Amino acid sequence: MNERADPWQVVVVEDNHETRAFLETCIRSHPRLHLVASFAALGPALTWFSDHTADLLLVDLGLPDGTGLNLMRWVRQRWPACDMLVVSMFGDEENVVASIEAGAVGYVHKDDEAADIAQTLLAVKQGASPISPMIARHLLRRMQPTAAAQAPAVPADTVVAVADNGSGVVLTRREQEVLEYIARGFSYAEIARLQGITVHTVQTYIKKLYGKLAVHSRSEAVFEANRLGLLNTFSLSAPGAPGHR
Amino acid sequence: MSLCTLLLALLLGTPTWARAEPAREWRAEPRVTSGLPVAHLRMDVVNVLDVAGVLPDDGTLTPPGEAAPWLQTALPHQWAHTHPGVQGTMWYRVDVHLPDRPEGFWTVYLTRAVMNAQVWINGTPLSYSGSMLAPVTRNWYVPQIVRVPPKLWKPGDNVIHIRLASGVGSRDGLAAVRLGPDELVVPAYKRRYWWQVQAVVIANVMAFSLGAFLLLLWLRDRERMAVGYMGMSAMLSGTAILMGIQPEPLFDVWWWEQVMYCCSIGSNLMLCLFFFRYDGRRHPWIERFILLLMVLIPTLTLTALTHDLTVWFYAVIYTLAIAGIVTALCHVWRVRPRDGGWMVAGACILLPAGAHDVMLMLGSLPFDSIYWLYYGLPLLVGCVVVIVAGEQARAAQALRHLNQTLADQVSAREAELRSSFEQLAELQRSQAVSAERSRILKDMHDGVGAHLTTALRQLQGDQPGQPVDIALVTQTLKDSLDQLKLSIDSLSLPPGDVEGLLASWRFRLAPRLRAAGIELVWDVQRLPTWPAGLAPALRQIQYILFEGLSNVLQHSGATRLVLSARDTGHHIRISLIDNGEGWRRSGQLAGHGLQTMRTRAQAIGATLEWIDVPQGGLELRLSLPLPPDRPRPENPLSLPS
Repeated sequence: MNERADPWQVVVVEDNHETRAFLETCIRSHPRLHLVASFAALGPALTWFSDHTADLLLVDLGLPDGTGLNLMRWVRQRWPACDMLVVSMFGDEENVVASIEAGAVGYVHKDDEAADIAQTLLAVKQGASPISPMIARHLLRRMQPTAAAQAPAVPADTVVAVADNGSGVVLTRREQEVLEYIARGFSYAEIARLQGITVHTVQTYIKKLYGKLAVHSRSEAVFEANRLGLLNTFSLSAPGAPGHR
Repeated sequence: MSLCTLLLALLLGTPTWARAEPAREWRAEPRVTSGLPVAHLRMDVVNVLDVAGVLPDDGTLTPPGEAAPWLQTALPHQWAHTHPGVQGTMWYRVDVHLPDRPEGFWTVYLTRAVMNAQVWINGTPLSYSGSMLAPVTRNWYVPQIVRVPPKLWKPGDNVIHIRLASGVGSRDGLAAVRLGPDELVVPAYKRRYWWQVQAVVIANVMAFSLGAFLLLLWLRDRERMAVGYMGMSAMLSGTAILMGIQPEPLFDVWWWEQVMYCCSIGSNLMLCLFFFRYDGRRHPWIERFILLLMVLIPTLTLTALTHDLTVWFYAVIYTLAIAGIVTALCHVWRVRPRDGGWMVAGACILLPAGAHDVMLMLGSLPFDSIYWLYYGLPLLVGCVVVIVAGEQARAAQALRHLNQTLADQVSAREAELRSSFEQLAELQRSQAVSAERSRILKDMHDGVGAHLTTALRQLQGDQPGQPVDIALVTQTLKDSLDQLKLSIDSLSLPPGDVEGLLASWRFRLAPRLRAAGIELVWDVQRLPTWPAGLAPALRQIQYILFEGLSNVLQHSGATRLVLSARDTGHHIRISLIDNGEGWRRSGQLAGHGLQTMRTRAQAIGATLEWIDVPQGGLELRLSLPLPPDRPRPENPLSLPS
């Protein structure tokens, strides 16, 4: 599927020494992955990303000098091609959803097997996104008011903004169905069989959904970036603009 | 009481006595010509002429000559005293002596001439106001002046004739005549005119208006009968008085007098009713009697009025009035109501005024005295209006105070309620927090805590030197982490969401199955919300299924595992079916935590069964009871079947 011969460039940002070492090992031990940088804090990572890019970013949320969400928001603006995964202990709703909104396309568990982590990273680059039934249920709950707003008596455009519980995301029927199956515990293969589509298509639905969630929260991201004073740096060194160095 | 005495006197027909006012510079001496005394006038004062000759007109309407049979009389003079029954025109003659011809106008001033008068000086008639013939202008209470040009006077003897026309039922007569220079007489005239006419009109128009106001108050609040009586009395008395002093009737003079009289009677009777009602109590018999009089008197007046009857009527009315006033004053004395002083003041005005006017009518007072009741009644109305205004003001204040108090009470109660609601909500919050905390504690105790303790024991070993079973410890720690993840998932499960619970179970535990090479068949249908499925109950199901899976992994040797979930109508049936070796082979029941699982199932009202599968293997069946007749609840996620 992917024709690229070079290994994917991976950056790890994780403050826990053992976990970082474990993640580094995961990446180094896989021939299709190449570790380009590894950081234990937010600041150095932000600095590095101001003039470097990568294919994959593995980032922990709880960093000593700030939250990994800020790094993801900025990298998404600066390097949209970089896929980001959050390193989560439990894959719990609150953190994962926040990460998705910040631009993450998935997550890995800290206690996952090394091979599983490498597989997840490669799958992401092939267009997949990991999701759990709990996350799916959470997203469906957020979508539900949108469905109610489509009732014919109510002017849809006026209500959506209010009724979609702030997500502002509209799903296609197929995306919705896939999400519902996931919420009920079905595997990608089972869903593909039930829906008559390929597993890969199922996976891309999820990644698209993640993208929609992230796009919606972009305005918040711009605000946040502004607050952090990052937007200037970004526009000065944006492609097409004269570099400042 | 003087009033009663006077009434009696009136009844007994006691002749009245005329009293001459003290004359200024008056000196009379007999004269041969008319036989009347001549008054010697002074040029610089107002001369009061209180002796005159009187003679009924012979039909010629010209002054009788000197030789006519003049009857000498004192002024004031009432026809009834010397010429009872005479109607029409009466001549008065006063002979005066002027030391000189006056240089300016002199004025003849008649303080009272009933009904109307014309003055002749030395045989020359002077102008008069209105009509001297029937219907005679009703100038009885209007003071008159006649300005006499100097040329009509002559030094020495002069003759003044006054022609008097009678009215309908009037007390015809003439008061002492004033005569003097314009500048001295006119101010006195103006004062009298003000007090007898202008001020009376003002006072009684006001009384009428206040009466209308009181009547309106009563119409809006029929409970306040006394106010209504007073209002009607004031309107009637105002009408009667204004009609009384009106010189030109608007309709036939006889009817005019009747209406005026009826108004006056009605006013007096209403006033009686007011006084009797002032204390707020009804006196039914008195009130009926008064109402009877109110019908009887006008009827008799129009049909068979006699002087005696009128006197009787007034005697009765005044007696009633006095009784009423006494009743009202007694009430004031006993109860001391607010503004009672105004009632006393009203009575203090009314009683003397009434007595004065009765005496005036009976002739005990100078003929040209003014009627006090013309002011007394309006003043009484004023007093009552002050009382009523006070009542209104106090009622309004009381209402405001009540409203304020009520509003205060309501807001205080609101504040209390709000604070107790807040306390309740705070209590509920803290209870919820505390329940959640104890649930998490129990979870940590049963889950992570238990596993970590086990792992520690396993590392320490039963005996020193015994090698550590790394795989066993790893499994225990993995169990611990999985339990922790399930526990975290259960925190976000909505109540009754068994479907979500199963999905989470699969997601968390699938890696184990993969690792053990066991194929999982997912046979979960749409499930209803389980009403008993609060967070602790869902957690128990997680434990049971976790334990069930552990048993399969450790003891069954299965290669295939089916998780099936069905809504049977009575239950949600969750089955974990493996294709392993089942009971008989493993042969261990107690050691696999089966009792604990059963206890957990009992705790949440579910049944747990182990059923042998005919083809081999074991089914762990957990049945969650659904209430009978449950409405088909919408699944919280409205997922397609």
